Formats: sequence, structure tokens, C-alpha cells
Amino acid sequence: MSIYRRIGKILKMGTLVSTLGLIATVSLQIFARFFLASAPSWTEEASRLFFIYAISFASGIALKNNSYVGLDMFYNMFSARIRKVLDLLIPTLIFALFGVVMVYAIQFVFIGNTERSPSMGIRMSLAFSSIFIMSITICFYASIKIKSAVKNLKK
Amino acid sequence: MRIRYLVIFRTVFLLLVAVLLSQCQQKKDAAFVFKAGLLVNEEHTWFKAFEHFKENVEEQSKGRIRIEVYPSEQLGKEIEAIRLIQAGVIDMTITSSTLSNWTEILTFCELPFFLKDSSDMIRFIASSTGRILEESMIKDTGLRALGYFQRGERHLTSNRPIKHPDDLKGLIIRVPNVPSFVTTWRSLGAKPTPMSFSEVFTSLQQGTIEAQENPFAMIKNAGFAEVQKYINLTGHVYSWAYPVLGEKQFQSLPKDLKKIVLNAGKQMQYYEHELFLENGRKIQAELKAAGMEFIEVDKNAFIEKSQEAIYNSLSKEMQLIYKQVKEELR
Repeated sequence: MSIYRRIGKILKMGTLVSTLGLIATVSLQIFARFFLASAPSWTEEASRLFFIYAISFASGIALKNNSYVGLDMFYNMFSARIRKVLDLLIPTLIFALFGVVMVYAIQFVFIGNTERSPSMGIRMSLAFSSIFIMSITICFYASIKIKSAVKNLKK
Repeated sequence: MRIRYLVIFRTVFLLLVAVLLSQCQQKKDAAFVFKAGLLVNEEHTWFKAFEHFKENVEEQSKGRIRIEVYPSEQLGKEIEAIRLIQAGVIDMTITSSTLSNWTEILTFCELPFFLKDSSDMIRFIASSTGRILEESMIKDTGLRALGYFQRGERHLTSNRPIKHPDDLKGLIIRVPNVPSFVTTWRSLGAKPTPMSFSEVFTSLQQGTIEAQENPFAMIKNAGFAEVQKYINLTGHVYSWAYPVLGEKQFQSLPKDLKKIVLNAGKQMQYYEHELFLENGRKIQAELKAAGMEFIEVDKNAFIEKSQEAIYNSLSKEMQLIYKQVKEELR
């Protein structure tokens, strides 16, 4: 169990750091725009990167904690038995979708190796890796959900 | 009641199936299908040029190549379109200095105060450096230029007239996220702020920024006449864009089709240029009618004050090319 916890902890730290980074860069941009001679041009890019990373770190944990917005009107209309099947079906579909995303994200990480961002000059692979991180963590937490849903189904 | 719903449902379903099937039918006949993702809408000269290209290619190849043109960023923004071409998902787009993310030399497509006028530009593109540009596009980005489209020169719009760089002091100007633009305006004494284009109108309204710079067509399309009074004819950037086809996709064509595509590319360029000239005259008149005032500027003062900073912002290799081109164009 400890490895699960460790992954969760790393993701939480990642989310926290990226969110703080986002707030810091945006504040710097606003401050510079009004009070300094000129606004540093890298802030626009850095804030975007932080924002993307905040989302990609958080999206797996959000799946684990059920914090996504859900419409349960139809879900509640079904019987308990069907609901159990849905509990299995939904994470399976999520797993399949992000499995596909993950595979293509790897391709883009390679393509991004030759591209550099205009003001910071970082390799775009770094930016594209966020999608890989997002899809692999979502797959990870979806698989845990699948496991518990299967157990639930057998009961 | 229930039966009626069922009937409606069935008709809709059948219609959907029919639409889907009819599309399958179309796709069979052509050996090569090229998807072009454009950022402009259907009114723009670039889109019309691509329609022209499509007609020519489809007719001359007798339907062996089919071109599908998707305007208005349907297939993604400019930079996404480039990546999608590299990944082989789509095949064509129009791009220019964005490619400097891959190969530095493309910064010359959009360097402030680099080219004096459009005849300078044409000479530059035809020069040896211009050819190096197109070769490095193929080598470093995997895109082949089929011609080039001239773009309108960029002018500064503001709410106070700017005739001389001294008038710029402290003026907050929105610039696109292009490092050389930031350098230029900073060296001229203004406060450049990179911002995405979609936020510009509201920011001008709210006073977050006081000025912006764009070609006439963009100024008109974005409705800046409502929030800006003056167009200062700084003409600081002469730029152009390349209609491109993925090199992998190009190499997959047999010899005769390659020839047809290249030829139609050149035709598209000439066609677009006609439209561009016609359009330019019309738009200036429309901007004047919308109440914007055109201000003549002391362009030499602008050039003198910013030249050194622009030059210093380039890397060593680019500085060499810069000097060489300036020498050639003199």
C-alpha cells in the first residue's frame, strides 16, 4: 500500500508546486506590467506551463477522490445491480481512452524534442510530457477503481 | 405518443447512417488525400488561395489527389497544425516565423525593421539566404514551402498620435509572444507586454494595455477602430507566410504528381497576391471610414533607435546572416 501512498504524495506535491508557481508567475507579470519598466516575456509561457502541469498532476488524484463533476440523474435511475456494472464499465472506458492518449503522448514527446518554446527556449517535450503524466496517472487510478469494482461485482 | 417518438428516432437514425455512408463513398476515389488546416476564415485571401490550389491540383491530377481545406482553426491553431503535420495527422497549413521554434533562421520572416519595403522582401526571398530558409524548413521542421504569401506590414495603433520614438515613453503596447518584438519596443522606450491576441480588445477597453500593433486587415477584423483612435504608420515589420505541405507527404507522391503540386503552389501564390493587393486598398478606406486617423511617422528615427538592440538580440550565427543580407539588399 505504501507505494500507492507515495505516488499520491508525489502527485499532490506536484500539484501544489505547480499551482504556487502559477500564482507567482501571474503575480509577477501583473506587478511588472504596472510598476516596472517592462514585463518579462517568459512569464506568459511559464504560467501556461505551470497551469498545464497543475492540471496534469491533479487529474489522477481527482479521479481517485471522485472530485470530478458528475451527472447522476441517469445513474440513480438504474437498479443496484446495473449500477455495479456501470461502476466497472466507466473506469474501464476511462482506462481505454487514456491508454490511447498515453500511447500518442509518447509520440508527441519525441516530436517535441526538436521544438523549442519561443521565450524560455525549453524543449517542448517537457510541455508534452505533462499529457503523458496525466494519462498514466489517470490509467493508474482507473485500474484501482476497476479492481475494486470487480470485487464489488462478485459480492 | 410513443410510436411517434419511435418514428422520429428511426428517421434521424437512418439519416445519420445515410450521411455517414455517403462520406465513405467519396473517400474511395482519390489515391492521395491532403488535409489543410488554416487559421483564417472563409473570407480571407489565404483560404481563397487554397481553394484555387485545390481546384488546380484536383483537375490536373484527374482526381488522384484530393485536397480538403478546413478554415477557422478547425484542425487546431497554427503551432498545433505544424505538430499535426509532423505526426502525419494532417498535411498542409500556412505558417511563418512560428517555425523559428524549430529552426532559428526563420526569425527573419518577422524581424522588425529588417526589410524596408515589399520589393526588399521579394528580393530577400529569392536570394541565397531565402533559399537557405526554405531548405532548413524541410530539414529541421519537415515542411516544404509551396510558395509564399505576402502579409500586410504591421502598424502601431494607439490613442495618442505617435510620430517619433520619444512619444512612446511608457506606452504599454501589446505584442505577440515574439522575443524580437519585445526587444524592439523596449529599446524604443515603450513597455511591451506579451499577450494572446484574443485578449487584446478587452484589454484595450479596460486600459490594461494602451496600444497594439498589427496589419491593417487584423486591425479591421478585430474591430480595434472602436477602442483606438490612431494608426501610426510605423510599418515596422514586413513579413510573409509560407503555405506548406509535409515533406513526408510530398515524398510519398509519384514524380508527375509532385510536379503538379509544386506548379499549383506557385499559381496559388500569384493568385493570392492579386487578392492581397485588392484587399489592402479596400481595408484602408474602411478603416478611415470607421474614424481612424492615419499618422505619418519619422521612420528613420525608429530604425536608428532600435537597430542595435534588434541586432544584439540575435544569436551569433544569425548576426552573420543579418549583416550579409543587409549588405546584399543595399
